[in-house]
Amino acid sequence: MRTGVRAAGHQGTAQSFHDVWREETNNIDVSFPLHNRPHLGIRLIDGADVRRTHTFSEEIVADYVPPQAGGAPHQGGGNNDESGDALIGGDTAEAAASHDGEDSGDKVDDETAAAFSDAAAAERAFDAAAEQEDSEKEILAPDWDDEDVEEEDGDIVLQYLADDQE
Amino acid sequence: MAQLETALNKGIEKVIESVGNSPSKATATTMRAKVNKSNAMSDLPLEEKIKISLANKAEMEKVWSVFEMSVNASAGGAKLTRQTYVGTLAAWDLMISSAMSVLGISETEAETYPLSKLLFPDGSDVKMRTVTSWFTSSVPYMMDRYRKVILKAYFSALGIQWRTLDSAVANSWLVRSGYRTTPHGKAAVKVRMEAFFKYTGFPERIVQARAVGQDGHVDCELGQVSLTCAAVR
Repeated sequence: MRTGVRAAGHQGTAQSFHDVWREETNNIDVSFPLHNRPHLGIRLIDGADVRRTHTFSEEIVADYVPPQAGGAPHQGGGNNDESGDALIGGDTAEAAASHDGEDSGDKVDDETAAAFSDAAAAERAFDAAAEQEDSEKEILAPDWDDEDVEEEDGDIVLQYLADDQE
Repeated sequence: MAQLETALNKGIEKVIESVGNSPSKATATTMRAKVNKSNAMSDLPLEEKIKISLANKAEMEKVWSVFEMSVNASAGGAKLTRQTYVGTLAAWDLMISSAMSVLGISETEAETYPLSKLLFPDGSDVKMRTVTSWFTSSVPYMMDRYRKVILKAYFSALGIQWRTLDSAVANSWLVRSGYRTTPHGKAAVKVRMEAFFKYTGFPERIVQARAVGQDGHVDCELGQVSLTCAAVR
């Protein structure tokens, strides 16, 4: 007669309800329209959202999924209010979503501000180069291009008149 | 024997209240705060321990009920797929926010409250238990309730007795995902969505037809549809 202790953990092919839900989310994605208008009695309010199959929290997706694969955070909120991290009162997941939006919005704002500062720096460099080019042109330009020629006595003599006088 | 009948009729709380030489309420509150803060089995008389454990449980159940309401509101009122099924991180956030709102404590205190080991009643005795251990089965419990509501509505719409459903019939609906791809299955999706929204307390998601030629629809998101599909599967 043999006795033994059953090994811990899953012994069959049972799936948790959470796993089944995640599978179904991906499976039904292809059979539902990509708009948010009623279709066969169902209107998907996130039908046009490319992240409608995301089942993980937005923070995790933003941190670990590359933007090319849809990992960029939602651009909601973004009021730079850093006092809204805690969930207070009866607010539930909606509050969590809005705070997520604010947090991700802050990140987006930071990225946008960095992009704008880079663009401004590039513009300044371009302007400086243009100014230098203008000054070089001015230096290399012939004197007869100037319409006004100031003589030593301070009188202004027009160039063409001066040529005629000669 | 008389004490047992009293306990059955009035509850053990009343019995503990009626025990003589019990400290005043203010003293008990102070003692409870001290015991909870120590986070260890206190060397107190059993009556005092039971009193503290019952107060702890009453306080925990207030937070627990608010947490379950939040899970329900998240599933029924979700506007994003990820809000439909409250995951571990979201559940932790909801636990902390529930503790903050119910107990009126700061965020730092609320973060330590679910993990603290407190005295809780255990039959006629008490034992140390973390607050979180009461919450672990909440989300699966809620989902099981949703599953029953959804299954009943779905198979009722199909004219099938869901309680006595034969495994062969059930498996026939799984062939090529027939529960959501066949015409009957598609038509019943709306029915089970309506049942889900009514049960979770969001009937405003069910939009009635307002003109001739309209059928009405349900405002939902992909995660809620897949939740009902998962329940049927």
